[in-house]
Amino acid sequence: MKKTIYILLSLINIFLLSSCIELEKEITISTTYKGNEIVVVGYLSNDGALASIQQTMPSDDSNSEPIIIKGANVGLYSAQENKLIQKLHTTDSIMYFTPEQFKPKENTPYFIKVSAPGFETVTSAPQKVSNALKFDTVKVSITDNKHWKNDDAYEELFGKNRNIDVEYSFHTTTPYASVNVLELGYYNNEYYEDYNYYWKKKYVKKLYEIELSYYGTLNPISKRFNFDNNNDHIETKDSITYNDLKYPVFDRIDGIYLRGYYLSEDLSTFITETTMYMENRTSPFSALAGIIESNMSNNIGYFGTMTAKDTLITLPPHPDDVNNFYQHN
Amino acid sequence: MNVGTQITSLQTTPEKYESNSEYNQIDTTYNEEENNASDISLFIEDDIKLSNQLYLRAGIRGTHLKTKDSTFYSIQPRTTLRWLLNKNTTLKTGISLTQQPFHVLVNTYGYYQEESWLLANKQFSPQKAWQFSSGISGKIKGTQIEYNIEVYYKNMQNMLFYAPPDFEMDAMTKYIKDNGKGKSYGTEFLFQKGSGQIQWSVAYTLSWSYRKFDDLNNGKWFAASFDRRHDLNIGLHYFRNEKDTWNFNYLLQSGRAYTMPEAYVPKSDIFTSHYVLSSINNARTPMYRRFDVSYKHKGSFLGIPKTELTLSIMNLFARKNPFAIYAKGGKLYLSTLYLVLPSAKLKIYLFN
Repeated sequence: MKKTIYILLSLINIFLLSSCIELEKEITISTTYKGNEIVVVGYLSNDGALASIQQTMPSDDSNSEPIIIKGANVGLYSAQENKLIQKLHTTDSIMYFTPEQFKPKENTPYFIKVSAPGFETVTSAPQKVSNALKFDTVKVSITDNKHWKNDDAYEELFGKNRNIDVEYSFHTTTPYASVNVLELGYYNNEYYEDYNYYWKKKYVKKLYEIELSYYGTLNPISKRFNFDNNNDHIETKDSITYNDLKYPVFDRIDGIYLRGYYLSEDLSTFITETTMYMENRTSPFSALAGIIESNMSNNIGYFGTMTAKDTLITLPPHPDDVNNFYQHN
Repeated sequence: MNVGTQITSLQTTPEKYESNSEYNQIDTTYNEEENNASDISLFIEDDIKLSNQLYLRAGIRGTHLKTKDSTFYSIQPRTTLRWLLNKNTTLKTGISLTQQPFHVLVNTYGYYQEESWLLANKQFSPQKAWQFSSGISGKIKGTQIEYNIEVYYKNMQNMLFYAPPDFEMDAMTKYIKDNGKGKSYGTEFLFQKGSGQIQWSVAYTLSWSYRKFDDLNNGKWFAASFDRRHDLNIGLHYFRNEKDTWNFNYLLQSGRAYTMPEAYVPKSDIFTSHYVLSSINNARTPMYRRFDVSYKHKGSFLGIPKTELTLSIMNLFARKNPFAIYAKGGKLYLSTLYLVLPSAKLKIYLFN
């Protein structure tokens, strides 16, 4: 009897002691890192090619800055002739561009090839640019309403509330089409610093000195149109409305930049899956078990196509700005 | 000859989340109805004596599986051939086709692994598997040691794989990859002494299990989540007398497969920072090892006659077995569910 009670008490002691020990420990596990490799993420557009070229790093080294690959040779090749068509240049960064005068031929396959000392040479699957998305109609209508505060002093100083509707329509043959409606001349923050300088400089630059081969960051297509094969004509409308933080004269919109673009389906999938994975993972090891496909020979990154077409619409000055005090072009 | 029928009623409640909290009443069924199914099967099998040493067991099962939106028929043959080499040794080989109405979908949320069960429907056909096995069993001459050695190969069809890029509960079926293939094969060894004061058993399985989907892993085979290369179980049982028994058990298993990013790519001017994920289940958690001990006493306890007291300690050496791996502050950590787990159990027999 005594023996059994001693055993029971020992069990309770063991349990109490073990509950004081942390249930986690730091570990070293063999990683799947294969060494430094070239990463290409970029696209071929109707205005040229653009790619970021950098090297991989171990997956637990997630706070590091990109590493430039020194001596990288980046070229756009004809897939039919396996011949260099155009070299991409850089300005000592990880971004590589084709020159502004270079325009790829439509429906002609190209691939990108990157080589560098100490790295395995990588190539992409062939890519073709197709016809750019063209708008059938674009209509802009402006409505000036009473200011949201319903305050005459506000209205006199800042102007009436303004609503800008942009209606547009286009034909598409793919669901991977999107339209960005960009506002130009909206510089809420800069105004308070030095409005004369910032307004003029940024406005002019945005409107007339846009680098056409650079269409900005690759984001998932957020605006989905109701596309199907039986109805390829899309008619839709975007509205820009001043809310309580915008003042129609101060925070003026001088132009609308309508950018329609097509992404290749596989590039769109790559962007969507990668972005969702990065937004939702809880750690590098949280399963989210799918893999992110690549069309590069080393299975890292993606080189797809993005065909874009920009349409610029200049808006008339705000009617409340009678003295042209806020004019800046 | 055995002839019979089996009728099974199946019911699944999709994605249903229930809570007692009045602030947490979320309808996660998204208007999906419960899926009811019935599985009716007829079977016939018989033992046929081909000679004094050769026996054949042959059978067939016909099933009619009716789910919410479709009906599946299948004919599942099975046969086993046994050859009695001598009174101590038997050779056997068999082949069978089976159908499974449920699919298991495995997903991992951070630290936890979740399994969902999906009933076959119009979109996802039932799993089918052909299994071939062959082995030898018997008793080692002049000893009390029994053995069984078997090799097997299993070929699976209509497999599913759940690959969600995020946690959208309303779109579960959107991220299911179907029409997958599976194969598993291996060898099982069992040696045991099941009589005497000291009894023991050693069971070891060496196995491989893979999956293949056209649009996953670039169409290449990859390790299944439950793929375990080694599985060793050693048991020792000491019957001290009619009342007291000691049991010792040692378990060693290969770690489970999980997907580990192969590299990291920092943010560029045109794209977000991201991990390189180019193959599925490319890494393994560390090995799982556990040593358990238990003591059983039959007799009186605290004046109560006819009791059975069992005292046990699971994971006696406090091995930190892997439950999940995660990164924190640039370091990798392994979390475990428990260390030493002692327990006591008392059975009281009130009636003879």
